Amino acid sequence: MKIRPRRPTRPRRPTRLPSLPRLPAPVLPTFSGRLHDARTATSLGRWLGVAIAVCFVTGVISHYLQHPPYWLADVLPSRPSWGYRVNQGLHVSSGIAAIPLLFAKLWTVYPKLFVWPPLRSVRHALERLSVAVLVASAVFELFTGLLNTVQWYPWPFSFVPVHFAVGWLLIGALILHVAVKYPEIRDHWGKRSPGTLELPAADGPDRRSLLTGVAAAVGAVTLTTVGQSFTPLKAFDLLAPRHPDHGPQGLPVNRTAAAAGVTRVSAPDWRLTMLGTHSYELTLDELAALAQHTVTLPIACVEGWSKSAQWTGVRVRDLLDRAGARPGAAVRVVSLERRGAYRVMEMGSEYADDPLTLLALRLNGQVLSPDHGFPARIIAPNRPGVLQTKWVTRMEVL
Amino acid sequence: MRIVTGALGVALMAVGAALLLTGGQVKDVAIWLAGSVVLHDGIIAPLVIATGLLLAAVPSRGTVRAALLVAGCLTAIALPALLAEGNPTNPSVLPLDYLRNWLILLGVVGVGAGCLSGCGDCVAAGCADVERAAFTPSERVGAGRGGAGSFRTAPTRRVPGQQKPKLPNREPH
Repeated sequence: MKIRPRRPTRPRRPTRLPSLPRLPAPVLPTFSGRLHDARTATSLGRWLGVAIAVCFVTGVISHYLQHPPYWLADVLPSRPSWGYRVNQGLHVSSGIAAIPLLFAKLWTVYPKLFVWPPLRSVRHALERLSVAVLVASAVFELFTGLLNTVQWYPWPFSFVPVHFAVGWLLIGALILHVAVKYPEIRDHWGKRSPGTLELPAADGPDRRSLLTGVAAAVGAVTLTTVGQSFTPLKAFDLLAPRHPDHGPQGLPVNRTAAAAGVTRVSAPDWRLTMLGTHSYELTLDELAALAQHTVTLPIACVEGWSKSAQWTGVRVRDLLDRAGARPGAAVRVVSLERRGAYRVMEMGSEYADDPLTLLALRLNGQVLSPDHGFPARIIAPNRPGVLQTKWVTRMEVL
Repeated sequence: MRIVTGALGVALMAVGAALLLTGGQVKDVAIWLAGSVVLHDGIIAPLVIATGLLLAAVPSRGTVRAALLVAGCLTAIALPALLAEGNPTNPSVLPLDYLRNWLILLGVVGVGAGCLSGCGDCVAAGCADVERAAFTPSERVGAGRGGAGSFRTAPTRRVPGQQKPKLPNREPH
């Protein structure tokens, strides 16, 4: 990286503008190591780009499933029933896979941080600014996302809106970066690309060795965490913050009864209140006496873990029909919990009409435990776990 | 085409900036964004570069580098689980023994790298008896190419006659 500027000697001409005092060049680090080249950056960058693109698309889908704007609420699809599970599994595992790729990519281009003068022109300044935004947002997104999966929030802002906003910043900076660097990417895309051929041939094996190492790191971090959502690999789930088998009734829980303040629900006193054109109330026994259906649906958390389970209960559609709801009505579900962002949940008609959507009373054949929402909870296909309301006490036809 | 793509990028960045501005938490987020760059460029990258300098002359450098990459990335994703306090009211958050699991993984990486560098040395030395060397890499390493395979965590250095190096028999559950 030693580039000595060769400046042809030329006579000094008087300038109209007063010239700035020339800053002495500081002592900048030089990088004798190899592979800080465009071919290595391109090879790593395209995989990092794929990981970030997958992470961004799945993140946006997740965000709108969880916080649908009013015009979207009734058209969000309830199928495929495993859609959210796959989406969120991909979101978290592509984010984790991006960590080794980001480290390696930034290592490759690190010498570019030390150039003098730091800003050569407006164009150069803008390019550096966009790279600064790219690096900052990429590190920020992966860091905050990883900490969110362990429910650790050391920052003063709220996670969801900021993670969402910086995601747009990141994908924008990435697309701009690809546009700016397009000639270099094109020249180093393949083994026989002109730029690649100009690089020292001796670096080829070393580069392949580095890329193999990075691939091994991606494989290792994926294998040791993906089991939290891809249950066939749960035996290798050594580092994920969740394990599919750890939790009450063999299923993880995000919000416990203690956290929600609903540890003691008295079954004889509990009532389900249905509000509609024909409002009614049901005791737990009356609810259990209605037609019961058993469905196999995954519960999938925004934080990445998911697991399929068997749920038994009453179809929400049947409850709505009895309340005189027209087909295509939406429904509001209210929980017994005293506070919490998801105490009140609204469900669009696609979900409400789906025969798989239940007010569940049982999990894998057993009565729901308090942590899983005793006496009754919602389970619907293709929905984030936070919207599968637990400790249901009231439903309103909308 | 490049200009259109670039403009699209700028537009998406503007969406992000607008979301941040309407969220009203710009100052805190800006500090954390800048902190991310400082954390990487000021701490992580210099450490990695320094490690690279130390590795430059190590035999089987590619294998050692790959092992450190894998071990480092495993550590990076394990750190939150190792350091987080967990949630005492919810035993299904961070339910595993992460310290034990992390150490097992480092051990597996070390053993794997030791085996690989043993094989690599053997092939490089033109050894025909690859199979034998793969099982007893230390003899070959120790005998011929002094210092080769000196990756510390690889328990392949042993005196001939000692027991075979054991792979961790505690299977990941």
